[in-house]
Amino acid sequence: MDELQSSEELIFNEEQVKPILQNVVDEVLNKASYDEDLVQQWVDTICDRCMKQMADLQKPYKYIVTCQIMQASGAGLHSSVSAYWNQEEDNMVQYFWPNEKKKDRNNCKMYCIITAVGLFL
Amino acid sequence: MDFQEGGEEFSAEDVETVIKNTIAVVLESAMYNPKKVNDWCNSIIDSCLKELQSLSRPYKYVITAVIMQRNGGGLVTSSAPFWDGQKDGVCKVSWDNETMHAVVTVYGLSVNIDNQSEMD
Repeated sequence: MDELQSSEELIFNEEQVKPILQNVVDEVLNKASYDEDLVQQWVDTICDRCMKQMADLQKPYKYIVTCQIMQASGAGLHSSVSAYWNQEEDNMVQYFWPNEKKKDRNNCKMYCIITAVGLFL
Repeated sequence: MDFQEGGEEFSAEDVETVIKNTIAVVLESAMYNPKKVNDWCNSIIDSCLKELQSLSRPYKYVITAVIMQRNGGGLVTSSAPFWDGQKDGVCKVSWDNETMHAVVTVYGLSVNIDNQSEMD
């Protein structure tokens, strides 16, 4: 039983990581409109805050957090991720903002894609 | 998988060459086409990953590819890693033509060679 608990604590758990991403992005971008002077600051803040909170989970993982913010100008955007890793231990979580639950989703002037990858040490 | 010995640091130059060659092959003379962009992204990533595997280095890789239509809209990206500052590294290549931008990023994270049998 103790071994099972400790192995669960050590895995890259999507249920723990996704709320971190959601909360940070919602906090930084809440009610904001695309502003080219501020957007670099936003992506950096989002990445830094997510990284700090994930590091605080104190798991034996290396992390990569990437954040993309795109102005809603009608242009098409396609983003793909692929990895060469250990399928049993490594994992990835993505969050797309604004999500379906946001009421004024169609009026948002920008989109944000945040990806967190965890690789076991 | 057998790994080459030595080469303890991430070689951004070698990886940059791989990425540039791959983008040139996949996107040469292409015009932005929403029906094809999915295939382009997957081709770029698959080719890069195969070439990187063939380098036989003790690294795990994460590759991201972003293709955006060029119509004046802004796109800003950032990343933050939590890794081994001496052995791990990143290489990013930007490419564009008249109709689209492409940004391909490769992150290389060193692995303990004793665990090489676990790599997929």
